[in-house]
Amino acid sequence: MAEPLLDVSDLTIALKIGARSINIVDGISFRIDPGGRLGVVGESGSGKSMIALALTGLLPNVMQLVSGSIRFQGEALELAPPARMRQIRGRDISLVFQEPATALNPVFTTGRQVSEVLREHEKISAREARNRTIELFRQVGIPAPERRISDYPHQMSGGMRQRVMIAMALACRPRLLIADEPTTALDATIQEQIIDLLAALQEETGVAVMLISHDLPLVAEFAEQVMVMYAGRVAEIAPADTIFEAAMHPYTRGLIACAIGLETGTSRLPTIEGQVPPPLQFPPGCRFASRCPHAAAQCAQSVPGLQPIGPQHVAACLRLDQMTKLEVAS
Amino acid sequence: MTDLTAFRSFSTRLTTRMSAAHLPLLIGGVIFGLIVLAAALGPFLTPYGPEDTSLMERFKGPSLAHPFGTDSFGRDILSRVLHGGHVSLGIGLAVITISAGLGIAIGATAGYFPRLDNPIMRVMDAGEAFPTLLMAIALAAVLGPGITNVILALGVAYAPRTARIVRASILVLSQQQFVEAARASGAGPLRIIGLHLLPNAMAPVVVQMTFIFADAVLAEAALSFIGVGPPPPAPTWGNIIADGRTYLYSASWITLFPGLAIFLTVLSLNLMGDGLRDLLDPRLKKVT
Amino acid sequence: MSRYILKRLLSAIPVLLLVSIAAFVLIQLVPGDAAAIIAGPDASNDEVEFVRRQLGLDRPWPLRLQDWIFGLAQGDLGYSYILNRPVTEAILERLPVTLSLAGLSIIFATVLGVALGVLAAVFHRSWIDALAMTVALFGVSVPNFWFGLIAILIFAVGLGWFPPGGYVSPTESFTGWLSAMALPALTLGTASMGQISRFSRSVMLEQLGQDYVRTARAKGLGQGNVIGRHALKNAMIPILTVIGISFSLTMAGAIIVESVFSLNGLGRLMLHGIQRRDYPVLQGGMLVIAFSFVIINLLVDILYSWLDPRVRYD
Repeated sequence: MAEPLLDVSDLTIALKIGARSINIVDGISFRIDPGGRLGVVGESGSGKSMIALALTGLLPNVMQLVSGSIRFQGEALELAPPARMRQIRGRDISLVFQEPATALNPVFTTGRQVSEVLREHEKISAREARNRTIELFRQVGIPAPERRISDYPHQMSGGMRQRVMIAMALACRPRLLIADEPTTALDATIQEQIIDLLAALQEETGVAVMLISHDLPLVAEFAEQVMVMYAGRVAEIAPADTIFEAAMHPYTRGLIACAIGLETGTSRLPTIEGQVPPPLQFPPGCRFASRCPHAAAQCAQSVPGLQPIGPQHVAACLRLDQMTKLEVAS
Repeated sequence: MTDLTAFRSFSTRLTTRMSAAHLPLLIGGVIFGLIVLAAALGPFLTPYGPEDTSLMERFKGPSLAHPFGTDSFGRDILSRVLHGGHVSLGIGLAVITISAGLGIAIGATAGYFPRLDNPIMRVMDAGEAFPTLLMAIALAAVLGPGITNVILALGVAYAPRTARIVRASILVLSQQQFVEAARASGAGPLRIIGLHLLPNAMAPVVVQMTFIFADAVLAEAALSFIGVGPPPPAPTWGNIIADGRTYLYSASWITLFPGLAIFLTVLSLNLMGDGLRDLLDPRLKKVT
Repeated sequence: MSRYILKRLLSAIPVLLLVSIAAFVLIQLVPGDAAAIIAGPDASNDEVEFVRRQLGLDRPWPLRLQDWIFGLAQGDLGYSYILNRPVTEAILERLPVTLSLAGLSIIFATVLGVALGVLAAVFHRSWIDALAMTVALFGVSVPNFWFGLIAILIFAVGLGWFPPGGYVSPTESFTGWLSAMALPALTLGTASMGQISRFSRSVMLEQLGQDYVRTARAKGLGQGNVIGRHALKNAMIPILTVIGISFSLTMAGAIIVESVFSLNGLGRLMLHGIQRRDYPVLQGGMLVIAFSFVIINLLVDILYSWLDPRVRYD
């Protein structure tokens, strides 16, 4: 097997409140191959965005990387000094955020904001940066790029702004692109365009993509592997093309039920009862237990580990052996 | 055990967060309280009257008998500063009362009656085009010097500031459901404004009044200093400094102590204003 | 953009008009016989009657208001019988002193104020924050005339670094001008410095929490670039308003600070106007200061449109 581009193991991120610290992300491991597509799915509060920030050294002050290792192209990022992280950010690993309306600086032209990355990481002239920016705008499908580079963010539509963000992220030909809910703030039709664009650019440039979203079908359509997260832990990792049939974790199944309900438009939407508990109320055992229809006494006590199910397929549930039977019974 | 330590850390966290707003409020309140107390008890604290002259005791530096020294007439500076506090704080109090009264009336009218809003606020714009101090100087110059005129001038000059804040609050509050409900139940504008809107709009006004108090003390002192405030020999802080200015090099204490009194008063009011704002204004609390 | 500026220019006209009327009304408030006061204490009866006719005080007020406004439109601020010269002339002579003083103190207040505010926000809740905000609190709490006197005592008399007062024209000696203006500008700018830094801090704190700041960091930009360019340009938009307001504070404060440092500027002219009941001079001075405030606000709005593209294209 080839050397992975990114190998994260046992990553733990804690939220510090006074003397207390709560593991917002609790012992997560995953890997992304060069040119691979990993999808990360979870509700808000699942800690998925924190992973993105931890990978780029942008964790807010109240968050702390407690343990675990992040190997990127063989380099230990968790040990990298801030100056080294700055070189990596935007050049080797880049980010696309959820809300393009606020993620772009309102007082600079979009073109400038793209060329700025180029000039930061590659010592090139203003003129060359401008030409490359125009080329990038064209690449991400912005019409009349020579003109649009002098537009300010407020002069563009949401979809165009997100294209600018993607152009910015791809400017220095990174090895890894992390897109955190890149389509959530956009209209449904624009969402599809942006995902198609990401897919096309991924194939064109060979960049590895980590797509973070709460939307399982969207992620499954895009990614090769899907990692389902719940309350800071991995619930299940499965190949994208089989996840709808082969999902084993009750939470993943719940998400699938919701998604199918949405698609077929049944009158009563199936939902997972309750919501992700706030970090202060994380239970000691399985964090999903309180909402799980299959929870047993043991689930409240012990933390489930990841169990292999098939090739490239693992799930963390204490009642995996009962799962198939239960499902058939009901 | 762990629960107890968790609770302890939680409670210290709570107190540190509270003191972030309370500490300035507490320090400011204590200093201001002491100043008010000193000004009120002034006559009993020193054996001299503020205008008692003594030719034998001219230009005495700070000593046990005269902690703040004496001036060119041998008057005891401490007694004069304490008495000046009486005058300055009284003027400040009167100014915030007038500016709050005017400001609330104007601001509520502009905020509640959309038709009057624009004309009223344009007049406020023009009023604010004259810096407060300049307006006070002009009014005091035209009306003549005197405590009443200074109060009137400053009270009027600060009214637009209060009016603007009241108007903004009323504009937001009038859109709320409980006001609609009151209107639907047949309450008149006076009743709605007085009973439903103003009580909810008071928090920022109280904060603003504290800051206006601070500004008024500064402005009154400045007016006295340039000779358009309460006329001498009234011992206002500004007057004492104006007196001392002639002897700045030889008897700097005459200038030093009343200035410190102004500084401490204004500082304590600003601290209280900061604390009150953090406490009462949830929008600003989020920012800081 | 030019349309926006034009719109702002037009909206300033009613305010200027109101200000002019206010200055007119002010003189009508003077108790007693205005003609006698304006003619001066030593004027004879004939002279008082002459002044009355000259000023049109024997005519109804709407006509006088009309004359006043038309006069203003031609730059005529009236005549001072006490100085025996046109008010415009007397004010123009003194204006450079006041403008030097106000200009230098606003520069001082802006540079130091924004620097302190930004530092306090970047090092939020550290000792730097506490120190910067203590300096700012001192600035807004200290009475400027007293601060000026103490500054003279320490820096002019004690250390001899600066002259204790007086004005030197920059055309005569630039360093002399700077040295003469150093203490007055420091004295006058301290309050504005405090205001600007307190405000800058809260604006900067808000900006540093914005998404675009995270984007700038994600691009790999350095701290200086993220704070000094991305966040500060956004923060400067609201800060500009406060600088504009500070300017009005400064123009009024000049009356007091000029008196402390014996600077013969507009403020001192007005102060003498008050003492000698020279109302035309007082009225003219007030109007010039109020106008300058309106003009500064106009400039602030134009700077806005330069800083903020959203304003420019709306």
